[in-house]
Amino acid sequence: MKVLESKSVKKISAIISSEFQAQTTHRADFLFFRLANLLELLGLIVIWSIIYKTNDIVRGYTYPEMMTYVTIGWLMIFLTGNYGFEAKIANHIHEGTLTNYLLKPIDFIKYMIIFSFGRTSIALLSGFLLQIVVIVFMLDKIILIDNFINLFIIILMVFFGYFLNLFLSILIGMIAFWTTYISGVKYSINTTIKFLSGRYFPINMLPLVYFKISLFFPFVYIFFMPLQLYLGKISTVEGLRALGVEMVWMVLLYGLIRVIWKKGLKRYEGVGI
Amino acid sequence: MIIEVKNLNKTYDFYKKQPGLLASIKGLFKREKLFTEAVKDINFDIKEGELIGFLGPNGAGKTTTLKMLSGILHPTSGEASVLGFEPWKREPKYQKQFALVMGQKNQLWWDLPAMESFILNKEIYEVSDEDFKKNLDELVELLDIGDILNIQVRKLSLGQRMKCELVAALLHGPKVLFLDEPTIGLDVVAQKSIRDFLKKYNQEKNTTIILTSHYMEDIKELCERVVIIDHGKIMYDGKLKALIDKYADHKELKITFNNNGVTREQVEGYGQIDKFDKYRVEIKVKREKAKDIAAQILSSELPVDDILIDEIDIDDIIRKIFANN
Repeated sequence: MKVLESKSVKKISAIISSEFQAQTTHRADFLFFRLANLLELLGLIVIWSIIYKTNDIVRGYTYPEMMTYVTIGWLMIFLTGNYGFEAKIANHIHEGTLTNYLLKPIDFIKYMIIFSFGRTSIALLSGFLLQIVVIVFMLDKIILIDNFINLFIIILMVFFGYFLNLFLSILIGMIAFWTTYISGVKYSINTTIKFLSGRYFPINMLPLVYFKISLFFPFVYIFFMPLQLYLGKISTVEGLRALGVEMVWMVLLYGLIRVIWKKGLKRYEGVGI
Repeated sequence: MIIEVKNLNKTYDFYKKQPGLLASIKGLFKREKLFTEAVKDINFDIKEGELIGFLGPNGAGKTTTLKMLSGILHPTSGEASVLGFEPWKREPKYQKQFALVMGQKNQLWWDLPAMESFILNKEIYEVSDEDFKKNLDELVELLDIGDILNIQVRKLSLGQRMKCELVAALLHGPKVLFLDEPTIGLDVVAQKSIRDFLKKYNQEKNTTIILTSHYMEDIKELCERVVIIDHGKIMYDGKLKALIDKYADHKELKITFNNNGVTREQVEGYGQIDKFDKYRVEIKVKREKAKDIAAQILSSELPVDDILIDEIDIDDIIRKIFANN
């Protein structure tokens, strides 16, 4: 058993390290990504600052709360992002490079999950560092968390949020088994996800019914819920419940990936893409 | 038998796409399903250590057959067993014992030196450190690529890349190797070095190899036995030599002259002239008469410098077989 374990550890580290090295060849590209991120974030800060010039509270959010929502929110985006992983999956299917993986004694889905760590590592690190700098600059405008139990729950939610996001991307990518072009589908699904997860604005700014609907989807647990816990707008118990729901979603989505993978593969085998 | 194939069939289905805007819009709602039989009821057996050539025009079913044998495609019906495994079950135990190399696809990491892909394959195939080192050294030497292992794959030439692809595929010491057009797009020198390598590798390791190629040189150099496929059916399965004997009822006399050379009229009588030049003539003659005619020419008054009796180009033979069907 011990031999087996060390073999899989070696496999995992080989996959991660190869992709990590491949990513380092795109250094300059990362810089531009981060620059664009910074501008996006700046845009949000400017818009909300203007809105708060004439209002002290907008739909229950004070100015410091909103600034926190935006800056800490972006930190979470960096930590849970997978940077278009659905395209990676779709390309393997369309271009037939999936074949390379089917030939080898590995499981493609597990491989891709491990691969994603290597792929996101540099982006995650550079984004994280950038955001820490931003947070330092915003220190006088944002709220810092002092409840460490809540912080721990938040960290777990963000950790699982990474996988939730990843699983969603894999699912979207697998649409490629059935259609040749997925960019339209991808765009609309991704926008829906952003909307329902509260990335554009806190989802509870909408009428209650929309907020209730959003609770039936996994997206709020990646972004909105941990931020609510951070701001103390939900209790520790509610936070724990959200974490539980998030984990159930994770298991469900992984199961769904397996089902769709099996179906898609049948098609791949049949058509010989 | 290492490979056994029984009544294997593969039918692809796809949707008909009508030309024109209106038809395309119609196609969004109602589509007509079409079928192509890529492989029809094929049978063959392959013994350990054989190096077999699959021949056939584009779309004949060669790649489809290889894909089924390597487990990527599910057959529509029929059976196949490779090393005792049913390929499309994709058992890791089977996957560790074969490799498929496709000349038109690559498995190496584009942004990294080939060495990184080799290491990754080593871990995936669970090759021990000793075996890895031994196999790698051997392959690198045979292919003479020691100096390119640490160069980004995207910067390699096609020939260099193909050699690296072969190394990546052979590091785990497969017992069966499927090669789909391994020399496609390569220049003559690179083609030859890949060919020489395959020949040597097959002899030394006794690896069973199925090879498809459009280049007759590959087949002629490497394969004793050929399987000819056309429209998904096997047209011929047997020794390449027997095929040549059966279809090549002619031989080619290649004669060089010195002094003032010859005129067309002087040589016309011996057979059908394929190429004519004052000093170099190629004449097609009946196979059984080749020796006699050569002797006649030699004893004639023509200023013969050299004479060569050659087999007809294998391309011609294959063309003839396909033309007959």
